[in-house]
Amino acid sequence: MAGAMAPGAIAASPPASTLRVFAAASLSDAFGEIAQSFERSHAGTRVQLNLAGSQQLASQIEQGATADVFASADERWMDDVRAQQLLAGPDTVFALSRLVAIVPRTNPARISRLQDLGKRGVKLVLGARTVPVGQYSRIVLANLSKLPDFDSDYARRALANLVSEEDNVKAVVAKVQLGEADAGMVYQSDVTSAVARYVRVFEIPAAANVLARYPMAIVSGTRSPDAARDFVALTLSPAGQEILKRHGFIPVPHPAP
Amino acid sequence: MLELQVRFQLAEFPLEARLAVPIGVTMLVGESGSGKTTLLRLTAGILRPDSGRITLGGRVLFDRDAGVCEPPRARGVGYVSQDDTLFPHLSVRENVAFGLHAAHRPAAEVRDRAQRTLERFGLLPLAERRPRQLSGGQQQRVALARAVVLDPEVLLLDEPLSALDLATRRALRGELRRQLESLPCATLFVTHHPGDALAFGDRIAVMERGRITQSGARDEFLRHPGSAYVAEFLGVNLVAGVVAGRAPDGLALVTVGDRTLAVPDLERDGPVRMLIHPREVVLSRQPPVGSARNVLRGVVEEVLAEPPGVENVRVILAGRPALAALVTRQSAERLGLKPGIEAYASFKASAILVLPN
Amino acid sequence: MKPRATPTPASGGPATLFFLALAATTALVALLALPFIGLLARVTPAGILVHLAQPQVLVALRLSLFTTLASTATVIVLGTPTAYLLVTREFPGKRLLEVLLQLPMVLPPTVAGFALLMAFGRAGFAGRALDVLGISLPFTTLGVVVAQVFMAAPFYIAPARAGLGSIDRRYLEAADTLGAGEAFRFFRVMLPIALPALLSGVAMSAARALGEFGATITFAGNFPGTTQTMPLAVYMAMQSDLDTAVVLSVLLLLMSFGLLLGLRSAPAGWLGIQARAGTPGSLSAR
Repeated sequence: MAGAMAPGAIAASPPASTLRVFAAASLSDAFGEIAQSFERSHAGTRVQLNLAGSQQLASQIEQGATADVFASADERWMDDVRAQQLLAGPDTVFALSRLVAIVPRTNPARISRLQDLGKRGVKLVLGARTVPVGQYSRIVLANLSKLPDFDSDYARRALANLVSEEDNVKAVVAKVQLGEADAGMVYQSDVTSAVARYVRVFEIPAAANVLARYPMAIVSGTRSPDAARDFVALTLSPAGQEILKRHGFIPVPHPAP
Repeated sequence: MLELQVRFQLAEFPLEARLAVPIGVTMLVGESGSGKTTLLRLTAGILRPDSGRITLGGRVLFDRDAGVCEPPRARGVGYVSQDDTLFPHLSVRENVAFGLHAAHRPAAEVRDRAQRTLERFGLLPLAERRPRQLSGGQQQRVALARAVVLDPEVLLLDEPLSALDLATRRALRGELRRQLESLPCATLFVTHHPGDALAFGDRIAVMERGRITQSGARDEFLRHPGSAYVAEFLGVNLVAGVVAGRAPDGLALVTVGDRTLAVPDLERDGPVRMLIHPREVVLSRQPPVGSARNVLRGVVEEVLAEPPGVENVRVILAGRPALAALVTRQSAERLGLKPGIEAYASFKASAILVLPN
Repeated sequence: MKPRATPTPASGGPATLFFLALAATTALVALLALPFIGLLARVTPAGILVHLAQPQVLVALRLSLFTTLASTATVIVLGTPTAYLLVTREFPGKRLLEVLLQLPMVLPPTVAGFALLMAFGRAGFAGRALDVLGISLPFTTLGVVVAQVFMAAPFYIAPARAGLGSIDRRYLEAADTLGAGEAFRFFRVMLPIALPALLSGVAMSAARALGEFGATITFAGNFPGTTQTMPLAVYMAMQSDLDTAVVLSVLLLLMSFGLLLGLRSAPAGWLGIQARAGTPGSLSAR
């Protein structure tokens, strides 16, 4: 678990320092592993992960929360923080992702294909407009409407089925997993082995799908610039990229450390 | 006619009472803690007896063996308790009308009966006030009116005057007596105040440690108090002495304190208790010359106005034992009886009532 | 003359206790007041009006008013008889019922929301029964009301019970001997006398329902106009539009303040009630 001292590091003499990483909710599993790896190689440093919707993290940073690293699920919120001049340097895209549609395994609304999301009475749950996944979902729906297999008012009909707007992607996953929602749109990385037991996945055609870009930057005023730099480097390293890939993300073609 | 025969376990002793209350006022007297209030609450249905039977007229209110226990609201019993239980959120008029509304009487009837009762108890000027704006005496009148307006068959009054100061109590007594006398119901009036008992009450019942030890007409009580408690309660002289010898004419000579009394109708020897009614004691400033066999000398200790009326005064003669005498106020003034004055008390031997052992 | 609530000690003696108490009170007042002051300092009346005009704000306001009204009415209708039964009857399992009725007060709201989902969600055992009747709770305004009732009911039942239970037993005995049936006695004697306590309970319960967040967002969801009450709107706005969040927060603050102030003091005053309460002879002293 991130935040715990790795065994063997107890004997380290320098006082423990904390690296505060604000990461989008969809990164919870992947960054959990990266953080553990980081702590193993940086004895004496604890990584504290703050996971939430990217919009909420940006808001917290702008309100003065102490953060060292910010990893967002879209560039919009990274730019928002940059506009407040709260970043110490340029941001780097460290991972990519795509969306998928999920329905509960019990499939109460009898959804057999993506078009069914526009059927009347389907209970659709998406992220709120301000949440990256919510914004991406709406773009995907609009894109699907333009495909020949979909009606031109597909997006409108699907959005009319919206019953709840969650403030982070994991809440969308939960609603579908619990069987309360008939369908939802999440990142492919969110369909972990644990989740997969309870949901069915519908792939979104590449022509309509978005490529979510995950940027990462060091927050200005950080007390641990070296550790922050190392963390970013670790994420961009082959090892870090391998972890991200295992958790369903698409590694960045030529990661710039 | 209310007939009670109940048993109820109190903290220190069982209450086992048997009492018949006819139309009219029956005083229930006894010391605090003797169970008087409990008896009223059992009659009203607020408490449930362990066993026994309560009947009112022909109706059975409680019968343990038959499994009957009427709730308070079905008993037709009016209950006025010691402390103020007037509904604080209602005016005097609304308080009085409460029971009529509870019985769902038609509005015109409620208005009418409430108005008449308010009038009868002199409460019209206070009709729209709230209880907290009334004096203690006024509150008690309202509480009584509230119960009486329902024409109960039985009226239970639990020391209605006890919470009032002496002056108010005296003033209210007369009025209350007039009101009660004109009611067609059986009234059971609990008091621990002797003055109340003597002022009202065609009948008196005495409760001691949960039992009715004596009951009957008031005059009987005054003539033959059945116990020391009753005697003291009624203000009758109760003296205890020992037979010391016989006089030549057959009367017994009984030593009481430092006096000797000549007592008739006393065959036995040993300790004896006797009663002398204060009315029989004649006072004089000079040693009396007359036929009275018993003459005692003493110093006047107190002169008290005697309730209920104030024509009589009670003169306490200090000594062992102290003696109380009842004389008219004029006589007391004429004789100049004041505390500190020496006086003589005399009474016939026949005025002494020997109490059975 | 109204008697003083508690006697103050006669003059003389060290004032240490008073000053200690004063210091503690000041600290507490500061802790409670500063956040409110901080909030109020960020808005101007003009600013409030501007943001009030936003449809998002108006929609949330209307939804909050409607759901709070509905849930409070439900709580009163269901909670008053419950309090009455608890006060006047003994029955097996009473202790368990009392604990159950207090549970939502101590439960984290999100846990409560999750529990509501388990029972009344589509897959929940009660939810399936409701489904047959055509009633669905998650993602509906009705679900919001249910969540509010769940969380707010204890805040009414506890003071209602205390109020009804502290009525001097002697008033009730008087009502009984005057021939009042149980219903008459309740509506004409108990309710009026206990009214201040009941109103206080209504205020607490309504304020709790108004501010309900965790159970609502977990059980009912978050959708403007249907389930996004003011607290949810504040939460969402805080993540992107701070000014709107502040306005909504100030509105919530003022509404809660008004609720507590209004329902606690005024009615008792103009009803002129000064009944004895909490005396040894009262019902609750069983």
